[in-house]
Amino acid sequence: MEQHVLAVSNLVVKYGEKVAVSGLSFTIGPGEIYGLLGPNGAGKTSTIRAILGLVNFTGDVDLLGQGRPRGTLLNMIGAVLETPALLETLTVKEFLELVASVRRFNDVKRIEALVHAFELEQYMGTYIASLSQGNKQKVAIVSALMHRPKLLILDEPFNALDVKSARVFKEIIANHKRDGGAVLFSTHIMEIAEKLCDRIGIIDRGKMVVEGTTAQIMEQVHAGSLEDAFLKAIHAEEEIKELTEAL
Amino acid sequence: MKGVARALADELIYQGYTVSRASGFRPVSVQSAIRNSRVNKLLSAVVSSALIALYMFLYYESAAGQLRLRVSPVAVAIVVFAWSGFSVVMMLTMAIYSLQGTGYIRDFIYTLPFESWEVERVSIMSVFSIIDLQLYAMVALALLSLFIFRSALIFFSIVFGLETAILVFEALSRVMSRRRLDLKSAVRSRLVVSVIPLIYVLIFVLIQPFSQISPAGVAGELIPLLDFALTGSPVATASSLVWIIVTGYVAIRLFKSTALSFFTISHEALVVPVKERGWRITGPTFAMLQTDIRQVFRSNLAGMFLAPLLLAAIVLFQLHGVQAGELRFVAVAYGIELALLSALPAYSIYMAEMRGALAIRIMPLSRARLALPKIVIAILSYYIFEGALIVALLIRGAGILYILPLILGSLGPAASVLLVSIIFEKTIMSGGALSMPVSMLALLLELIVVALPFAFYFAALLLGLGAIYASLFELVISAMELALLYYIVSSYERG
Repeated sequence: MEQHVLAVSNLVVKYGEKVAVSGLSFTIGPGEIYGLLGPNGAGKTSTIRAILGLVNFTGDVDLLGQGRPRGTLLNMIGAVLETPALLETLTVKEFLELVASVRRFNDVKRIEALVHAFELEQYMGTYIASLSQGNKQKVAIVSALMHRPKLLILDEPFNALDVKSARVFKEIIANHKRDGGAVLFSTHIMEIAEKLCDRIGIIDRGKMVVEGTTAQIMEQVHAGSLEDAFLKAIHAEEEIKELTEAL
Repeated sequence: MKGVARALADELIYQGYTVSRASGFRPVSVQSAIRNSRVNKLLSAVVSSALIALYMFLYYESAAGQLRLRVSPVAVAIVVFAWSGFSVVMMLTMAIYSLQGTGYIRDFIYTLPFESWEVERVSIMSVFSIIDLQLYAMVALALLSLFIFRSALIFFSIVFGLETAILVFEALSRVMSRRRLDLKSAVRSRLVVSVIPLIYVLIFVLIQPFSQISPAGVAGELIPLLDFALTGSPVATASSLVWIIVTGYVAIRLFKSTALSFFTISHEALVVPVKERGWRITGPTFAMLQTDIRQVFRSNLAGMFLAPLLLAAIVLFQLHGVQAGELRFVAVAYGIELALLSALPAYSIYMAEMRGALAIRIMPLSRARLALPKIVIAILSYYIFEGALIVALLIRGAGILYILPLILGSLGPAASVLLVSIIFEKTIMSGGALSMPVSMLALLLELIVVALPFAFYFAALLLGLGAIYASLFELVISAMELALLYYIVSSYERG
């Protein structure tokens, strides 16, 4: 039996009385890109934060059969969060040096190649605080990719990226998959999800509504495209009609 | 417009409390975070007003001969001046630092259909709302003092304290909103930002020497507030009034532009002229140590590194006046003070870590490893401070037994770092910043952890165990504290 890279079962995340994620379960295998789709506030980011141990939760999260990704196990993950998680008072070079040092990764050529691929050379001596949103996102991407993690966790990773960098990143994700790496991918952009993801889980109000390959999902909800399937799955089609008619 | 200003003020107070924009952590319960941020503001106003009211009471009772204690007017003037300003500066700086590097409020204001005068008005009203409770409470106390107790000293002290605090804030705001283009200028600006709030800390520490100032000399006639406190003469009253009017005028004039710049605070918008150098990839602990120090010295918290140094210098200065016979107990008493101070830099590093806490927490670092560089800094600080005290004691002719408890006392401050680590982790996981009650609790617990081994040292001495056994007792207790807290830190499962 092939071992999973990530297995999430019965995940529950609460913020006080509010339940953000309610009994969510899914697995991601090696060489698989799993897309987590859902409307705003569906619980995608909370799920990702729980996996990374950034919020308290109940349920199980297992990384490569070794338990919850904590401490040194986090070295098997590269994460790009919705808001780039960076230390703003460091320069780009200082931050990348810190990440490499903490990850005990000293393949400088790899880091330089990534810096070059995302055109960050000219910003190496710039404080992260004064970078544009797109460049901050690139720094977060380089720091997530540098150590060749087994699992990439990407929350809206194409936010603010320019077209060239987005293409470079898509190629890198494809190579990562080809090399047996797994990806948990959260996005609002259906076209990207359709092109990149092997399997998709659509969540709404913290619960899994439908899961499978794009074709399976479209078949399950009788829709002609992923966008239609998504809207049907979250019961938004009728609502959209009513809303637009009222305008 | 009032509604917008109120909403912006709430957002500023909320950000000052949670730092959620800077840290990336969401509060578990936004409702309770909002409530707590308001309570925090209310508490600041209540604590500072209560302290001023207490000093006011002591002063008038002393002046009326109701107390045996003689309360120096100069000391009262300085304490009231400092407290009335301190809470205002703290509330404003909390809000301003939480906004560093985020222009979202400015962007929001400029997307509203406001004329430029309306933008100015909204900015002024919202910044004013951050400190309104403090101002109302202080002004009420000032008027109470003037009309009920018929004395101008407290009135002058409060009003001058508030005006100066607003000027201090305006200076901080101006320094921070400069677009710094070169490294030297950036370092200078950071230094100014770090040192200015220290003035208040110094004032509190130096109350004793201040209260002994005699009326002779230039202070008697010219220094604002002190002149009135010292002489109470018509010339001094006039001089204080002139100072208050001029300072008040300047503070009010500058408030408008400061309120506007409040929303456009840049964050070291600077390109560092990096020398061509290779990559410096080290071990995780050293890399974190380097990052911790960089983060602190690039933030307003650098002052928390400088404050212990200043206070340590004062302790060493005071040692000169100690009688030889009291040296043993005084040595350890000062040793405890310096041990407490040595825990401050580590505490400030955790505060600095609040910014970018998310980035650090997705790295493969256990909480114990995250605490390690801070422990190293606490131990280094301890030996720097205690080392200076030990040298001073040796010069005074103290023997090795006097300094043994100081040499063996570093594990207490190290343990206190782990305690702060536990409180810090619990706080950020629930999405809040260290509010005033939590900070005070943290400080109290820290004090206990650092002082407990020394308390056992004294207890052992009183039981007649001798200095060597007492010192060993102290060492064992601090080692037990360290082991227990390390166990808690290591076993605490995130998520």
